[in-house]
Amino acid sequence: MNKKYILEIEGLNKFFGSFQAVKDLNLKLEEGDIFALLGHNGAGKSTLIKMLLGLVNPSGGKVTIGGIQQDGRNRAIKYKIGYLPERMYFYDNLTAWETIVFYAKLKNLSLARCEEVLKQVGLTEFKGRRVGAFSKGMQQRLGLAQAIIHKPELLILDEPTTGLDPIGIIELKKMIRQWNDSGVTILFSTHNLADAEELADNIGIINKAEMIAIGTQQQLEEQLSLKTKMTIKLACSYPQLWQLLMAKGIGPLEVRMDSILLTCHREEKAKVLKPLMEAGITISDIIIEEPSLDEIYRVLVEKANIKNQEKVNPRNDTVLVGAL
Amino acid sequence: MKISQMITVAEKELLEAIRSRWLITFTIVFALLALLISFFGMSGLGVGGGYQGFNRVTAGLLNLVLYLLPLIALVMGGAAVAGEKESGSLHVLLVHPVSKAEVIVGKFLGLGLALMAAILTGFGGAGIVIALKVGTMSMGDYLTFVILSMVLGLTFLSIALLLSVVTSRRAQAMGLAIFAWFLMVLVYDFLAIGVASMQQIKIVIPLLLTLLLLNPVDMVRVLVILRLGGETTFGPTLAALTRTISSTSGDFLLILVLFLWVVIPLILAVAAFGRRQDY
Repeated sequence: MNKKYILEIEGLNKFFGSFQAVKDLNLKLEEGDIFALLGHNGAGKSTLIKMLLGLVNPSGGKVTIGGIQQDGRNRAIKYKIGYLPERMYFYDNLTAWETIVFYAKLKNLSLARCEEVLKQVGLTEFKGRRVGAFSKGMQQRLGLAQAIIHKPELLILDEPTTGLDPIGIIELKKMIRQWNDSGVTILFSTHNLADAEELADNIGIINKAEMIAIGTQQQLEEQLSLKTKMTIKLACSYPQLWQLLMAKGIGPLEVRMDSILLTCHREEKAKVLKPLMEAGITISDIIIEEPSLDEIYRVLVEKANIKNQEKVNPRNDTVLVGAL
Repeated sequence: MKISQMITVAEKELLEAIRSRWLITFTIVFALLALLISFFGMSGLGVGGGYQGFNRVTAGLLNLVLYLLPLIALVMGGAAVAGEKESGSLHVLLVHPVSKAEVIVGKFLGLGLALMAAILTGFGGAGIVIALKVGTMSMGDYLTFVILSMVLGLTFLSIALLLSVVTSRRAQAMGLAIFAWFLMVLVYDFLAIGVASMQQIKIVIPLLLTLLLLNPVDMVRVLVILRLGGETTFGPTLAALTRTISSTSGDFLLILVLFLWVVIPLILAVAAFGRRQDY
């Protein structure tokens, strides 16, 4: 079956004067995906998002959304995108209702849809209140309401959890999942790795204007051959355990009084446990630490930085190796 | 450009103007100005209190309005785009199916309507009071003045939107707007005085006419003075100038140029806004 892409980015570049904010970026986002864009502040995430939205013209390359090329002017493409900025600013003197009606009119939508969407984000009882008096969390909800009111195909969220309280974050994640279940593709930028880990199907890591990795967390993990850490707690100590496990080809490992510490690939976990069970060893607890996204991110960014350094200063590296 | 999108933006601007209370504030300012000038205008001459007729009120109000109205319109329009740019609400607006041209024209319509409403209600309300107290003599002059005030407001609103588009912060736009006001309302007059004091009348008149057409404030001033029949009281140069204007169907020329002063900065604002991306 042919995959259907809602977003296609080809060879995207953006220069601000001599500074390159986005470099040769390629990305394809399948329909129904949740994609997290990870990167430090200033890595190029916001510039990329502004180009997707048509607010900034690329210096090179192209962005296609739902089969239409983004040029910043096309009206049809604007109906396909919903956007929530990092910090939502409204017109302080208008009420929540007047605000949502304003955006709905621009999109040629009915008042009934306004009611529906306010209910969806839980703002119905506050609709008569001035937006200027809203808390950050309520503003964010109203922001989400304007972003989804026209049932977009692609929802772009810029740092959606920044500044929200823990309950706000939980509610936001719930809403994101609900919209995704109803078929909306979601792209969100974040520097909070836990959000990406929890929500995203696919992750893209931007470092210094370049997309250095794209894939599921598992794919990235495999690409880096990162291993899972296991701590197996035993009911009592067993002599000759180390020899037994080594004989089965399991390792590297460390055997302590009442526990075994070892690292293995994600899919090898059962393989480790089987010989223990067969030898009649009673296991009291198992603690598994999969490689976290933090680790994947750190390793990828370090690798990319070393690669960049080599590109900039190849000679120095040679000298350094020679000196060593 | 879609009319419906412009009307939606205009409605939003108008609603904000009403909510922020500036509409009511300026309505009161305009009404008070007219009433105070009508009531106290004569007391300076030792005649004591009591309302004056429309002719004197118009002459008295003219200079105040020529100073005040451009400033109000510039400050109001200056914040319109730059303020939204600074706060970030412009991003969200432009992601909606509305073009930049529709945003500018919509803002112009909304703010223009608010400004015209404030002038019409303020001066109109005061006009009714004056008419009841003093009678309706010369009311036509007053009406012309009110209409020209609205046109003046619109020209400066249009200029303000242009300034608002080329700046990226509210404070920057305000600064530029006040500088434009200083140049066009204060400094320009000194230039005109300098030209008018030259000896060769043959050079002075065309030069003065050019200067006149380059500044909407002076055009409105001359149009109101012509209407009031003030050429005899404003010295020989102005008399010569007004004769030139009158003899070449000047009213029409001035009104046409005033109209251009509304339209051209607006077109430039749309063009400049379309090109800018650095927000």
